[in-house]
Amino acid sequence: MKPVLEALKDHVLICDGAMGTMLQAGGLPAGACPEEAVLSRAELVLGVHAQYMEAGADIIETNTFGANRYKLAEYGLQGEVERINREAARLARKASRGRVYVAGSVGPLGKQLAPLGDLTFPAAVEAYREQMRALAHGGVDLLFIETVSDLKEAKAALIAAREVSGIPVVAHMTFGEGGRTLTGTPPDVAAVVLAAIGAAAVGANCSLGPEELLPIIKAMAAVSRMPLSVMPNAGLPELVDGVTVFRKSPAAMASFAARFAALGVGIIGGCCGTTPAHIRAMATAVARKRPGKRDVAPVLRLCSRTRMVSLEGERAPLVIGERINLSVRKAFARALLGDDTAPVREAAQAQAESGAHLLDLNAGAHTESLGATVSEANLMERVVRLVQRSVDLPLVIDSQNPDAVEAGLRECEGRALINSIPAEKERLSRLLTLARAYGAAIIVLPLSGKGIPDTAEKRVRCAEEVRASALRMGIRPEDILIDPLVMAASASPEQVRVTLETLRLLKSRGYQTVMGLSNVSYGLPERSVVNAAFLAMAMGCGLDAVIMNPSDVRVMESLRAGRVLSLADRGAKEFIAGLRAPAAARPAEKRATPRSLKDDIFAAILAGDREGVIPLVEAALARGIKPLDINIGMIAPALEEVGRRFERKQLFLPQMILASEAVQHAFARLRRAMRGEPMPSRGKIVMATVLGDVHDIGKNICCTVLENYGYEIVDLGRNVPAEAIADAAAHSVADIIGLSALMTTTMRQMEVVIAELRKRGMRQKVMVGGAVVTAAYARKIGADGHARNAGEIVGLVRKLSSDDRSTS
Amino acid sequence: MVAGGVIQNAVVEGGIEFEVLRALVLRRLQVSARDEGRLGKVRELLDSVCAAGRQYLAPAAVHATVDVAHCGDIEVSFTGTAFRVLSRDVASLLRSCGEATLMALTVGPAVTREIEHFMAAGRMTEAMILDAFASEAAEACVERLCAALGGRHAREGRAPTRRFSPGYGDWALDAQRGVLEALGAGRIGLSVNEQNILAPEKSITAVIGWKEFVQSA
Repeated sequence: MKPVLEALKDHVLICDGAMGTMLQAGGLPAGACPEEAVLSRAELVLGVHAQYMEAGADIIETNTFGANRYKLAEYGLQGEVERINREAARLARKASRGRVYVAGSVGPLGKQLAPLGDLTFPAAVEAYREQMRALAHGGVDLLFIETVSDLKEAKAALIAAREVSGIPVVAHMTFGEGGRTLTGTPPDVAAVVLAAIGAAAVGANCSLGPEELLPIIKAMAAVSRMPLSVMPNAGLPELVDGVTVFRKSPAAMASFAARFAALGVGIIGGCCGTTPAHIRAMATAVARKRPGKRDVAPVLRLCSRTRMVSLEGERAPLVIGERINLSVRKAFARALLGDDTAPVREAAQAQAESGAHLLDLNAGAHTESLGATVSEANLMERVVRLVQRSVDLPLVIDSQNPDAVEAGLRECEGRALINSIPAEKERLSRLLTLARAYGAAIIVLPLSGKGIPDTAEKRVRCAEEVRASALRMGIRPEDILIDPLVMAASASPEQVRVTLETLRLLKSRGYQTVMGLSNVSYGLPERSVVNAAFLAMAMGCGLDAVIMNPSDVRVMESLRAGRVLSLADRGAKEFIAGLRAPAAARPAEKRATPRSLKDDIFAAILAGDREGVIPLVEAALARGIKPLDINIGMIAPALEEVGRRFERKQLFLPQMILASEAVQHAFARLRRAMRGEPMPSRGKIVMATVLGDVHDIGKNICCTVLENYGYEIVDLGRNVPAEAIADAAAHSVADIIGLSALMTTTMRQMEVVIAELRKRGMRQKVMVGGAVVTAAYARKIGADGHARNAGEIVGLVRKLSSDDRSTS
Repeated sequence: MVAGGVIQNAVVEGGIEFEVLRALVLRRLQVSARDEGRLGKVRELLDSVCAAGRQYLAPAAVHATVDVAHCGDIEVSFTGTAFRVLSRDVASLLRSCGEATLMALTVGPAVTREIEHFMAAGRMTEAMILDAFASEAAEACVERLCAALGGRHAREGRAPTRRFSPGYGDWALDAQRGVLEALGAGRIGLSVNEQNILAPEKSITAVIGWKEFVQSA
């Protein structure tokens, strides 16, 4: 047989279908460890392999999907990883009789990686290594990583695979109905990241049927020249009488197989619900067909877990935010060492809001001078983790220390850029090895042990040496950026010209370029003016990416204007949109006119800044603005915007609650200023969790939200009898009564309360809610309205109040 | 035959290992995992509340595996306990089962107290996140327990049914009291009030059946 990658170039390879269900159909108990069957039920496993081969599979998969130490531990078999995998590979080899390829199946570990879970990245790599080493020893032709939904876990698996052997790896992720993985990764990001780390093919398996996987594979095909692989379920699972069934017929699967092949998919198989009959039909449909040709331009693509940024002509120059640099910003390092994450987090968010495409992270603080002994690698790891939690931009790992670079790359969830690789032998080879291992792109620095080359030609020659080494290591040309080196104009004015000449020369040879802008203005006054001018000149030479402060409005405006003049921004759409951006969205730093208090309060409430809103309210009071005017003119508009964004799904329930809390804090401060004078009320609402029920978190949240909107709340608490609710409603002259219950048993009490109210002749509107309460149930018991969550409650109350007015 | 009281072979287990999937906590908060990056400050709270949340969880379970003595249309009785199930749904679930496991699990009262503290302090967002986290933790613990039991049974050729809890289908919520009594769940601090609400709040009772698997030739 040809090597599998050779065969893949000639024609589509058909992979087998589901294993677990076939084993169960053959008599393996449903709760038993399926992988253990290779030891105790070898004939059964051999039989499944034989059936798929007979159906026309070119690749059979070992029965090792969950044969890692963590999954096997659930059956007390963690000590059998080596034996099970080796035996499974041996069985498949035996079944194959050298006529088909054997793929070692490797599924998820069943544990979440840090920071989401407890599993560290090195521990994940080690667990995969253990399984893959045994599969390789058992003689598999390739490895299939399957059904992984966390991009970082897929990275760990690929890194492990490349460490244990040179066997080609096909990396599949699994996607949900929204077209992303459970942790939010879209297919194009998955394809780019996994291909970069060295997968021989990328693809998708499980979770969805062929119909739903088609757009996912299309998205992968658009960004990757890699061979593709797809293993759909036989349709979406349906639950019938408590049993999961898959309904796609072999014929339907076959027609999709042909469509996948036309898209350029080279490996087509089946996952849950597929049988030898499906595989036979698919094999017949695409037998010996050549995968469709794809034309994907070689473009630099960098990713976070959820987002891809590519360097295509019209995007240039990409903006790389430079603010998170611990070597020059001691305050960041000091805060971080004291576990205060706010400065770094806020810098990340501010840069993202100001239009950065990527964020540069430099953790090279001199920690000794701060009285700490934390390594740069450790700091880098913390910064990467923190920034990834704060924004969804791809990262640039900025360090000259290979240990710190490795720590950053290991922690990075997506595909990073290394800043930078100089022409110094030792660091060069170590950094290039890291770039290759972690699939990172690189910035080349034309800097050798002999210092800074003084002419453009020398700089280009120096950079080309590094570039050649990188290409020899297998790094692609599109993944290399070159820095022409920027010097301070104040110290060496003639060097500015050399930098620009280097830039022109690099571009004339077809290389991609990047530079750190602000060095040029070092030592000069009004640095932002100098930076803006230099950027315009560099853009004129074809600069592809710039490391700068995106919150510097002047430089950003120069960049946007430059994009108009270079026809990158046709019709000046972005430029005009940038000028029109509302005050709240404009960069926080170096603004020409200070943001108004109203804007600040608005922004604080929208961000849910409970602590930050209080001093702002105090500042407004100090300016002599009346509490009521602060409420109506500053807080109410923010609250309305929160409601609007929630309705448009731009804000989510917990964010809305957090914003409500910020408003509560603001109100509390206003009330103190009002010294007992009452706030105007929109109406009175009695709220209670009914008798027998003690779950009142939902009701409490509704109370908070309603209070913010100016309603007076009488909260009776939980476990409240019907009579007490009716008494309180009568006593307080409530306009509306709100009832909450969490359980099917206690929700019946709502009906009792309504009966009690009506018995007393009380006509107040009653609204109900709770986890199990539906609109239909609300109607049935005679309630006037129903809210599914705290986000709907204000709308409901307004509706009930206006009903009242129109009927009275 | 034991007329009442606690099933003799009921096992108390503490220190159950578990893992709470963040995507599931987000789902309870009505946020899809893909939108996590758009949560702003809430994301930080999610991190800190979930990380700190674990210290308030002390999962403990008590379970007993008993023979199914009789399985009628609506009534199921077991060997070694006077506890009976009255439910068509459970009866059909356990129809071909030789054995069944009754279980009760709690993650303990501390987390509920912490949720109340948050509410009392007006920190509703934290309260809501911790509530979702604790509920998912209880589910995760039961899943882990079932997987461990399943492994043991599988080696003896038995496969599990679905897990079924009082309050679902036609199995009345008041069955919880019987389950707790049969298991002696007071030993793990688990009780039920007059309205059949479990205390501590984040607790689960359930039954799972084990059917003999027909071995192939």
